[in-house]
This record gives sequence, C-alpha cells and structure tokens, in this order.
Amino acid sequence: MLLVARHLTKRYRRATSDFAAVDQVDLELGEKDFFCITGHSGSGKSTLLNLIAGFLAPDEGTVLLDGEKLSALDDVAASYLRNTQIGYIPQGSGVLANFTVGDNVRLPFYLHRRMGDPAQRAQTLLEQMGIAHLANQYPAQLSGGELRRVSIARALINKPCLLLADEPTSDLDPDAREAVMELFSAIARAGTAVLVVTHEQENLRHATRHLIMASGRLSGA
Amino acid sequence: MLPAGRLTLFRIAIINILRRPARSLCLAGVVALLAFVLIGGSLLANSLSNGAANMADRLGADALIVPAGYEYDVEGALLRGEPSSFYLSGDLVYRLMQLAGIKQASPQLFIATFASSHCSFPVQMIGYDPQTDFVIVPWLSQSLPAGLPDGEVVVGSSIKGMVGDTLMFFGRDYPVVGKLEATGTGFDTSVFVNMTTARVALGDYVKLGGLMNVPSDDANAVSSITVQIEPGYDRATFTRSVRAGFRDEGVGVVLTQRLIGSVSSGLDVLLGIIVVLISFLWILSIGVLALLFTLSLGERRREFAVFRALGAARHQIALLVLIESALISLGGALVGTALVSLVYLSFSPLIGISIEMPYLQPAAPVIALLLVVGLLASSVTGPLAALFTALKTGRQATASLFKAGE
Ligand SMILES: Nc1ncnc2c1ncn2[C@@H]1O[C@H](COP(=O)(O)OP(=O)(O)OP(=O)(O)O)[C@@H](O)[C@H]1O
Ligand SMILES: [Mg+2]
Repeated sequence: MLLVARHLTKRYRRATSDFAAVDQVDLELGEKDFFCITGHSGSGKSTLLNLIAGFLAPDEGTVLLDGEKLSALDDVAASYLRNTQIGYIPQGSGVLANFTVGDNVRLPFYLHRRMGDPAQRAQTLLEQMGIAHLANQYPAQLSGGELRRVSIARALINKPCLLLADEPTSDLDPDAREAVMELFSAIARAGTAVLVVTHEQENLRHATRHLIMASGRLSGA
Repeated sequence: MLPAGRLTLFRIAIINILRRPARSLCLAGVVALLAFVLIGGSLLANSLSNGAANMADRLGADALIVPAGYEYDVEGALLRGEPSSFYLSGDLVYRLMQLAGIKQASPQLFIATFASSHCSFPVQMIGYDPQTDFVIVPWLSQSLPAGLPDGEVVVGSSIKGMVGDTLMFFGRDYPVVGKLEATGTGFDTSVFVNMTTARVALGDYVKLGGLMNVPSDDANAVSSITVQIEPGYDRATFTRSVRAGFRDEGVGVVLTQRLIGSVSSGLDVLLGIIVVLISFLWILSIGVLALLFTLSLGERRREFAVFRALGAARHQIALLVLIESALISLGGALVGTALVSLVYLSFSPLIGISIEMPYLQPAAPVIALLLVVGLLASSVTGPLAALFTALKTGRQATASLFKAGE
C-alpha cells in the first residue's frame, strides 16, 4: 500500500474542552485508487489532508507513505518527501502571483537539489491541461478554471505517487468541474493515487471509492 | 516555449522584488536614506576632527599677543579665514623678549585684502619675519627650502592661483611661487609673504585709503606676536605678566591651547550630535524596516504556505525572506552611498566654508574606507531587521493555512 493511515487523530481545544477534529481514522490508498471524501463543513476533511501531507502532527496514530513514517522525519526530510512524493493542490487559488504560469509549474522541481531541466515536462503537462498557450502569462490574467489547471500541472511536475486535492472544483462552473475531475481520473488510471475532498455530489461518479467524513470519523459510503 | 533558467532561491527572491516594485522601492528608500546620513555624518565628523587636529599642528605657537579687544578677530582669522587688520607697536617684540618664561617670539603682520579678481572670497595676507619665525618658516620650507624672496607670495590651498600665476593686491602684482597643502584652517584662504613684502603691501593699502588704525608714526607696526613659552613655565603666570607689563599698550593674550580647546569642545558637541543622529536613525530604520517586513509577512502568509505545500523546507522560506531583504537593502545602500559621495565630493569645499570650523577633507583612502564601511553597515540593516521576521516565518509557514474561505 502506498498510503496507510492508522488511528489518525488530531485534537483541538475549543473553549474548555478538547474535541477531535480527526478521530481514529484508518485509511489505505494504493496506486490507481481515486478516492473522494465528502462531509459537512467542519467535519475534519482539510485537517485529515493536512495530517496526511505532514503539515500537521497527529496526536495519535501514524501516516506511512511508501513505508516511511512521516511524523518521524525532520523538517528537511519531510519537506523533501512532500516535494517528491506528494502533489498537493491547496484549497482556493494556490498559484503564486509573482510567477508566470510556466515558472509556477517548474518551481517545485527546483526546491530540492535535482539534476536536469523540467522545462520539457512542464510544457507537456501544460499541454495536457490545455493551457500551454498561457505559459508566459501571470496568474492575475487567468480564470479560476485555468488557475486550477496550473495548480494541478504544478502538483504533477515531480511525478508524485500521491495527489491530494482540497475542494479543487468548488469555484468552477459545471463544464470546468467535469474537465478537472476527468483529469484526476486519468491521472489515477496512469498510476497515481488520488485523494480528493469535495462537496459536489456530481464529482463522485469519477471516484473509485466514496468516503464520508462526519465529526472527525471516516467511513465508507 | 517555457523560459529557461534555474529557479534558485536567489532567482525567486529577485522575481519577488521586481514584481513588487512599490514595496521594494519603499524598503530600499529607507536604507538609502540611512546610508546617506550614516556616510554623510561620518565624512563630516571625520573632516571636522581632521581639521581640528591639523589646526593644532599648524598653529605651532603657544600664545598669540594681539591688541586688546582683538582676541576674537585673531581666532576668526586663524580658524575661519576671516580677514582682519589690527596693529600693535613694533618695539613690543623686543620688550616682550625681556619677560620671564619666553623662549621665542616672532611678529606677524595681517592685512585684510580686497577681494581680487582671483579670489571668490576675501583673502588674509600674513607677513612673517624670516629671522625669528618658528611657525611658518618650517612649514614653508617643505615647498620652498630657499625661503620666500621679497615681492613673492605663497598661497593657501583654497586660493585660486597656481605656481607661476600672478596675484594682484592693492594695484601691485605678486608672483605665486608656492602653494600649501590644505589645513582646514584660515590658512587655506591666506597668502604668505615675508615681512618686507608685507610692509610694502601695507603701504599700498594705506595709500589707497583702506586703513585707519595703522599707527602712522610706527614703521614697525605688527598685528600679532607668536610666542613659544619655555617648557614647564606656567601659562597663567605668563598671561598675567604680559597683561601687567603692557597695561598701557593694551595687549591681549590668546593661548592657543585654549583656542584649540574651544574648537575641540565645539567639535565634541557637534560630533555628539552626529553620533546621536546616526544612532537614532539607525535604530529608527531598523524599526521601520522590521515593521514593514512584519506587515508584509502577514500579507504573504498564504504565499509562504504555498511554498510549504510544494515542498519547501522551513529554513528555505526563512532564507528567502533574508535574501530578499539583503538584496533590497544592498540596492538601497548602493544608491545612498553613490548619492552621498556625489554630494560630498562636489560640495565639500562649500561645506568647509559655510561650517565656520576647521574642516579638512580626509585623504582618499580614508574616504574610500568610510564609504565601504558605511555601505556594509547600511546593507546589513535589512537582513538584521528581517531576521526576526524570517525566523518567525520559517517557524509559522505551514500549509495547514489552507482552509475553506481562505
Ligand atoms: N487550528 C485550529 N485550531 C482549532 N480548531 C481548528 C483548527 N483548525 C481546524 N479546527 C477545527 O477543526 C474542525 C475541522 O476543520 P476542517 O478545516 O478540517 O474542516 P473541513 O471539513 O475541511 O471543513 P470545510 O468543508 O468547511 O472546509 C473544525 O471544527 C474547525 O473549527
Ligand atoms: Mg476544508
């Protein structure tokens, strides 16, 4: 299994009492899996993704990525792992405004020492996303759907084995949403494990599995 | 096609700086101002203490005997090059030599000249007595080992006349045979002649109706007498015995030690002000920069969170903030240094004249050193101010900022 989460728990303190934003979550994800998680607002979906990506340390339980325990690594090692293994598509617009579309996509390649030039791969990804003609534009000149595609292309530049996306279609019109979900589906079929948090029921038909988050608990639909 | 070129942290920093020109210029402007004041203040302070040190060297005598009431004028002539004419009876020198505690005494004759066509400012003519002089002769001998012939002049560094030129005073031409190095004192706007020449010039001046207070019956009138006191002889006793011995002639005594003391205490005040000003500005600009960096950190949280999400380590984000601040502050420091060099080097003579204190531009290597040190000192302000922010950013930057609605 590529991703194994066991008894994953994250507690927050609210007023006087503790509560578990993520509560004893078990999750396994392998190659070509495309899981969708739905759930009410505040049910702990983003918190779960942040735990899996290693941005948050769990209070209980473990995340194993390719057999590696994320929370046991120091920041540099964890960052390197995230950079190489995880493609993270943040909620909202995560495209860097100061950089052109092309530079946004190339950027993760340069964050850690690597040989070679990502230009060719970036070009191919932009073509696959249908935004190659925008390579030299700045984000301010792009539509919401185009920005989302930039985020996806950027998340794929280092050929990650796990793709995490937090509400990637929330601000898109139905056509653009369909296109993005089809992209994820294709990415999953090509061998990458995909985990998407979404609110839209229409998205679920693309997924290989549908999970529901409720009060920090994860269960199959 | 995609642009090539590695996106190193350095390159990312440059892109961030260029894509936020208003913010970058604002930050760089603060550093430029700091560099300007820092270097300008140090240059000024250096020129002033340089001038004071040189004056002490140049004055050479322990005391000056002048007509009573002219003590301030001789200071003006020596320190600030304000021309003045005042006279004492000539035979005073011989009577003075009889006093206890006197090692050497030599008369000087001052003539305030009209502004001639060669000079943009009034010129003090100083006549000295080659036989007895112990102040000017040793100095002139560096450039004029054979002594100064009758009818010729040696000019101070600020006089617009080169060796070989001729200056005209009171209708008579005087060839320039020597030019002195800058001293930062009134000597820079003086011309030096021997006593014989000075008497001729004084005669011309009187003939032209310029002077009223020359004792007409005294062909040996002098303006001041430079005195060297016996080593160990008490200066206060000396002053008292001169005042007592020459009560009727009305003479005043200026002790050069006091003169130098008053200059250096004035200088101390000024230097103190400069130091306070510089320190204040330094702290202020670090504070302002730190504030600006902290504010921009708030608005850049999301940007840094994206970097984290893409796999940047915390230390890389801290480093990015530091590199950006270093580049901005280096840019600002370079501009400020260039500006202050330009202003200082082109206006230095004017500053020297208007400041009315001994003022001597330091030697080129000293100026260069001050520029480099000032440049470095102001360049580190940015990173210093950003250090706290950078560390905090590195610690805080977490992609878990991404939440619904953000
Ligand atoms: N840093 C925090 N401190 C305290 N409580 C937090 C923190 N982050 C999240 N929470 C709480 O944890 C719960 C889960 O938050 P989370 O962001 O995971 O919800 P979500 O399922 O992603 O909601 P949405 O669909 O609105 O994005 C919420 O009740 C939230 O208030
Ligand atoms: Mg969420």
